[in-house]
Amino acid sequence: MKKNRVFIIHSGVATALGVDAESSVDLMINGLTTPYFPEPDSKYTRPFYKVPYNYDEYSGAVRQEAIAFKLVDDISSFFKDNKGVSLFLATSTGGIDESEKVYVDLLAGKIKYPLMKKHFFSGLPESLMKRYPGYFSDYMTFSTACSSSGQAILQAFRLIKEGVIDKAVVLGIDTIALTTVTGFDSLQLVCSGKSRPLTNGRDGLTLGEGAGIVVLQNKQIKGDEIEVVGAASTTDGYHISSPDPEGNGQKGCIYKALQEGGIEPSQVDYVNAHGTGTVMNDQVEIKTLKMIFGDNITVTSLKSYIGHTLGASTVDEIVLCEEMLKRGIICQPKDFSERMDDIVPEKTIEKRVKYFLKNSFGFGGNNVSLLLKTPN
Amino acid sequence: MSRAIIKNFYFHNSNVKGAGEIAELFKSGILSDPERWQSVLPAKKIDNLLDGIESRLKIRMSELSLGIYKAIKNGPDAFITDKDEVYLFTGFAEIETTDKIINAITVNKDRLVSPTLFHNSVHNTPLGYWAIIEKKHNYCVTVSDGMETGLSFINFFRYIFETLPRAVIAAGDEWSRFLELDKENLYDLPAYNISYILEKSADKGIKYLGCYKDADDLISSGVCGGYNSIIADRDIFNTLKKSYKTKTVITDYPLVMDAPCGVILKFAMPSILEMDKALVVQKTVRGIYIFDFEA
Repeated sequence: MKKNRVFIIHSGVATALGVDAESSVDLMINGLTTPYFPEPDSKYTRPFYKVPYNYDEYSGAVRQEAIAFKLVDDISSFFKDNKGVSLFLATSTGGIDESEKVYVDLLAGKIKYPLMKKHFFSGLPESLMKRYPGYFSDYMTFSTACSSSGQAILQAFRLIKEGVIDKAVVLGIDTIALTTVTGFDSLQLVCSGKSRPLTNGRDGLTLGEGAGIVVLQNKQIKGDEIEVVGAASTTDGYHISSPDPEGNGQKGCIYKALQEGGIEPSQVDYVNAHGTGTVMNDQVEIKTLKMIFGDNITVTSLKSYIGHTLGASTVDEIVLCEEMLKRGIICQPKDFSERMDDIVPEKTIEKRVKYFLKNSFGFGGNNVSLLLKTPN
Repeated sequence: MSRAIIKNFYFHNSNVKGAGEIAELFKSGILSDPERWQSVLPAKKIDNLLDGIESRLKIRMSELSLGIYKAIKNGPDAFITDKDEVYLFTGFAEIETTDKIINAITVNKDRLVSPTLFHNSVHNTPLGYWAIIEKKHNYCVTVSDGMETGLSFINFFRYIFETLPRAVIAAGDEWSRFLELDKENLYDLPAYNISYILEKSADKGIKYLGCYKDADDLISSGVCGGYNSIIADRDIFNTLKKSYKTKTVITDYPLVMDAPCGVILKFAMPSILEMDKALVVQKTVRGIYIFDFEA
């Protein structure tokens, strides 16, 4: 049976680089991003990246909602002719920062707060359904830690490809929470400054606030859209928070994505790595990529610019890749040095990329690889 | 829309274990008699979750992870192939672990927390532990939408399942003090776990029929008339019981109370209760969804 093709026909992003892809990539080319360093007396003990936008126009909304509302507004042109679209949400923290703010007072019985409506996953989709009546027919929230939005794209891709639906909105979002900053720090996975993924000087990740939205559809509009051609997911079955050191789960996942796309490893030009900047993650990922692609590949991590945006990282990094690759470049920060391997460029390079792979690896050994084709 | 049969079912809460004990409750009439529910309602916690798990990892696992592991192990585990996809539906996932972390950092002002607590706090943790202990590499994903997770399961059944020959379903929640911090939350949320294999079938099993605005809309449609057995959630159970006095109208409430994934248990009830034909009714924020079951 003939399968549908799946294209990204609209997209939006919110990361430390800004709230639109074009200016974000301008910043990637021209400047450096610096994480926010908390004051010494702050409850936050480690630096993190934050979206440089206050969302004042969404008064009354919690930050997670405001970020999501703006992204939906950014693609509002799509909804002029499209109603009742399936919404695939993805998050790792589910807006837990809001619970942290009210927790002590709730525990003491000092305040009443609709925790179930505002926090923990049930809040955001219903807020979106109410604010944008008719836009969405139904929703599902995928939560597999750092691979969450990879899973959401995989499922939406599959349903469109198989003809169950013809279009879908995928929205991944994670805000900064004390729980995640403290938690990753407790695992000794957070660096004290700016993370340096895919370098020999890497000493941990820097967390980042981020979100991304894409509209997937079974037909192109302008003819220059990125196409999702393969999507796969495997489970390591090795450790709850560390990757299998042999990379077997990751390898199987990447091969499955390539197989689905009908693409040989030699046809892939670029890998946008999970590349968190932790010693173990980057070591296993580079080893796995070398096993599959040899030396004929270019690998970078956008977490050098925006930090690790957890459940949003797949979708927000794909949106940034879309703009970056459209310009025929693969960016590296200006202060990039000590690369781990020759497959990692030392500086921003010009490269015409046709096929690229996006990796996402989450706690519990949850691996997702997406294979995408640019119009180049 | 496809039909699906349910195989290798397992369920447990603090009082009930397995399909046989659910069938006993059904035969005793408790599932249709609100006055007798109190005697079987599940407790907030399930005792002895560590029993029967050989892995040393069990001492690190949360109640939800232990419960989901046992449900899969006692249910579909031996029949899961490498190609089977595993879907976990949970309203609040590792909420007790999350509560412990938030308590540590906001009340105790701790600057660090237990690494085990943190890596146990993500929604995918139960399937991660299952895969590690059983050395599985299957596709695993967790879907979580709070109290609307049952609706997400319905969406899964209507859309995602259409693309699969079968899927391993796991569902459950654990109780946490966190859930009671919200004074507007009037739901009773006990601990429970379910697992089974959902498999496509040409002519048997459960099938999506439609969605109705409310109970009046459903009753006036006349669709219930074709069924002698109706399985509904508590919100609509009383209305249906009053409207259809000659039919067998039962509810999953004595087993899972207000659990967000109750519909996942209801999907299995017609087959484990050996019904010939039944209507499964689930109220959601988007309306009342109904499903036809044929043995």
